Amino acid sequence: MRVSRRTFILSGLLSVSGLLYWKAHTVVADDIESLFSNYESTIPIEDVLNTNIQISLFEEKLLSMLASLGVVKTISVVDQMIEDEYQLGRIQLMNGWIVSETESKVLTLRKKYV
Amino acid sequence: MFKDLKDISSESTLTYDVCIVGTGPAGISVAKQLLDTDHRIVMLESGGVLPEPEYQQLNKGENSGPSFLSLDASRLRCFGGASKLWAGVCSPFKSDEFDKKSFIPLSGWPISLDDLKSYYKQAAKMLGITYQKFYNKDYFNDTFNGISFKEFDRDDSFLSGSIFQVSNVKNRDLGEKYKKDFEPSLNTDIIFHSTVTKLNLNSSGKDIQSVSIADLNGNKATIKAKIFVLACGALENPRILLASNDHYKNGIGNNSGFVGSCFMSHPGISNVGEVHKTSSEQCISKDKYTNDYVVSFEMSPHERSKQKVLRHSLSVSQYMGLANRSTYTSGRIFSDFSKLYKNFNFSSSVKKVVCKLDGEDRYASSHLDLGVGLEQPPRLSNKLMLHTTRDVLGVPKINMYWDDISEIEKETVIKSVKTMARELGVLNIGRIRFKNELLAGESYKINDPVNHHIGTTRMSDSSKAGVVDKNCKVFGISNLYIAGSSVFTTSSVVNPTYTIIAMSLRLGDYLKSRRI
Repeated sequence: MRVSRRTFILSGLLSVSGLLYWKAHTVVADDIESLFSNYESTIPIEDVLNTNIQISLFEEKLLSMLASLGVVKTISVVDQMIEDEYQLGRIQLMNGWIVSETESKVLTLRKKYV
Repeated sequence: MFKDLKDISSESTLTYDVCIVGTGPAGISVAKQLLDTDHRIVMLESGGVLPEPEYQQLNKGENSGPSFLSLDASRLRCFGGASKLWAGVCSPFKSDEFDKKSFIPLSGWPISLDDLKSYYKQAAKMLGITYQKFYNKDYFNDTFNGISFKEFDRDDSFLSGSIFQVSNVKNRDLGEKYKKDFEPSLNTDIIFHSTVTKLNLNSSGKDIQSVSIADLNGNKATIKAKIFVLACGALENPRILLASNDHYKNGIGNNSGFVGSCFMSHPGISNVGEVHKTSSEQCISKDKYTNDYVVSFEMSPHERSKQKVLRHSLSVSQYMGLANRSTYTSGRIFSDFSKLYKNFNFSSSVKKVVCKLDGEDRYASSHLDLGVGLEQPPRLSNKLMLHTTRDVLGVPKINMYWDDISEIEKETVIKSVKTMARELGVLNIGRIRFKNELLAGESYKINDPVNHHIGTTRMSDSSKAGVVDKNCKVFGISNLYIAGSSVFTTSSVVNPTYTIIAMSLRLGDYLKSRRI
């Protein structure tokens, strides 16, 4: 089969970008697992309910932050968000635990990834 | 001079300038201001120098409400009264507690903290504590069970702390402490075994002419005086007023119907939550604990007002460390009379806890139990009335209707715990989990016993909303005053005795300044 020069270049580009995308995605996925494995919380994982809270948006946001900021900085930003929410009174109950809104999402994701 | 009714000729009438009914913290504090003045004083004590079981029986009554109040626990008929059994825990009211609050009906005192400050200082001296310590923030450098108070001492903190000093045994038993002053006094007689059975009004119904007294052996007498002070506690003061109904069908000082109403106490709600520490810091060091004060958490006055809640105290504790949990349900041991003096010592029980906690891993858990002590709002439904049955002296017994905890009290528990959780979250030093008992509503049941009796002859600036005026004088009666926690307009959350003493010293001072 004869492959045109244009098709050859296009295929090559697609393969390289796919490879890069896969690699980047894998790194971020590894990062998020690493983030939650190392995420320290006083709230036991078994107390985290399989809630119906919408975490997909937060998950995307977290992935994006991980990609751009890295694990350490992301944890710092999330911690600050949680602190701000406690300050503002943006708290909710989760199986009796009083947690901030973001903390609740983080705990739910932790249960998913760990 | 100490006397006994049995040594006074029966049916005789004795005349004095001031007659103080009751020799507990309130009565002693009023009398102390009048000691060695030109006035002739008589103090009437229902019991003896020491408590006697048969006179304790006069405290018995009935409960008709959903919450049970031990009417005979934590009350002693003897010289010194309840000061013989209290834990000695002292803390002054906060200034905002005297204010009227839109979310607490019937709140607002006709006096302010400034009116009491100098008397709090005098009361502190009486009790061997230091007034300035209540406002010394150095104490917030301390740590209790790994939670530092210093961290809460921020301008934007949701929480603040209150210092409770503990008066030691030598100082807090006022009967024992002041016996040496009263016994030789030339202007003051103390008549033991003289239970007041009735206040007698003159024909105009505007002045108390005399009180009738009796003992359990059939001896009776009448005491005449220019001024009368009821100082028998928040259960007995309204009982005597209601039972003295010869002239006024509803009793003395009861035109507005407030005598007996607005009973308040300090329910402790345990099993509220668990504080899980994020830090590894453990229990208080034994060496740091000075044993004469306690610091408690609560929402700051600003936050309390913003969230429209009652005053409260948040206590963290490790029950595992307690040698005997019943020590903390204090009133229960009061029912066992013979063990009273031997067994109860607040300081030593606190010390035990600290010693158990210190250095012993098995007690140094990462989480602590959280309890909430509550102020109760004045409610007309919480009411002391007269029962249809009478005691052996013919005085109607108490019928206490104490309602379930109100919505604002429940809200205070939830909001105070959530606020504490916010503070711990901001500082990232801990998280709180509500206990299942609270979420199921079980913790809201008031557990017997509750030992503080407050508010049954409340102070007000109007006769339409209270029983006594700002000088503790009964509205409509020219010469009858009331001392003690029954005049408190609101209950605060702090132990009442320190404020009882301060207010009674103030009343004594006022009477001294009057031309009798």
